[in-house]
Amino acid sequence: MATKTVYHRYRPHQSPLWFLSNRRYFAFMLRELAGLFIAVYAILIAVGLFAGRFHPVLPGPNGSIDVYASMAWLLKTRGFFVFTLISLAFACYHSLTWFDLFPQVTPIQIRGWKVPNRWVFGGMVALWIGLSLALYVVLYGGKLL
Amino acid sequence: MEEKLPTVMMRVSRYLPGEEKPHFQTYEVPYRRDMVVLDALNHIKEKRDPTLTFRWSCRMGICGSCGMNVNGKPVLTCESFLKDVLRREILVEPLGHFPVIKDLVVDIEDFMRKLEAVKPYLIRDQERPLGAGEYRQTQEEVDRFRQSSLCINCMICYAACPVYGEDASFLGPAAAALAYRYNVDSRDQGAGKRLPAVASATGVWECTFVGECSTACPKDVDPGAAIQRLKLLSSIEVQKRVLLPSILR
Repeated sequence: MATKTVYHRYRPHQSPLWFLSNRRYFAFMLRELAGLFIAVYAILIAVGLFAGRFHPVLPGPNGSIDVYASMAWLLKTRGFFVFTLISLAFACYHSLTWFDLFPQVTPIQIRGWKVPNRWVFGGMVALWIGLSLALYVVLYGGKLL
Repeated sequence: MEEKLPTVMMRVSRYLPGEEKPHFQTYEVPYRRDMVVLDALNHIKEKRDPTLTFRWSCRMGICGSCGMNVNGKPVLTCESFLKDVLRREILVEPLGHFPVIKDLVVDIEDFMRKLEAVKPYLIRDQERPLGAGEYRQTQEEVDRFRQSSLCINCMICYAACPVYGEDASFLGPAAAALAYRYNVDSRDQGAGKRLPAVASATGVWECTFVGECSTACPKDVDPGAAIQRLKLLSSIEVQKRVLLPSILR
């Protein structure tokens, strides 16, 4: 009976720092990291809104804790201000890189003509800025803070 | 009299079956502006060291055999000019993420299994009789899959994919692009049969859209985009199975 010879193969392993080997790998990792900052920021804001609406009081080691007052204090700290700036930068990076990827995932066609990816990207950025301005006008009446 | 050409140094990965890990060997090769990396490897094989082993066939970017990592980047060596990759020593290694059999030859068994799993051929519920004529397609219907059908199975996208590097059970870019190619073909009715391979835990959902597969692809197949569209198509297919009775699918 014929037997199959099995040769030893060298199995390479990917370095845990693979994302440093290429600019695009690094950009991808940065986008993933951006999601973490955006998630933490969104959770904090959600907790703040919940506290503002329901004013929950939690038991603490030195008496009760007013969650809303604690959140209000946190939002005024310099640390949170820096965190907000970093989150904003990451949110912008995440949004722009996603707008860049969007036309690859969902190519837009109008009567058989494929809209160029750059146009889709530009349109989404314009829409993003337009909606942000509209929200600003609704919330603040267009006045500078 | 033979013309004296300038030379370039090639640092080539060598591996013999049974060795613990590969080592590098450096060769001096004549340099001309019109030489590609594959020419330099063939020069080494013919003039310097006949034991050097690598795959190649067509020398014109069609067969997909000569994919290797050149200076750390997966490329077709028949399309990579020495002048474009020139540095003190040009580094040539086997395609990344694949088991190495010998020198620059990698084991492609895993890739072949994945290709087979996505059933890369037209599937019909019922064939039309020959007398009914051919399956005709409009230009728009052809355009839907043309880009994905350009894949030459060179596996460069796998070497560029860090997800495959991390988990070799991932279906991977080329196999997914082929699944997409047939799923969007108007003559095909086999999307449901490809679903187990495409939408499984090791299927397209493992892809985190790094996008390097599309950048590295020498044929502009854009497998990264094909995978994202497959995610959408397979979600629709699953929803159809859940919500619609079989007669309406």
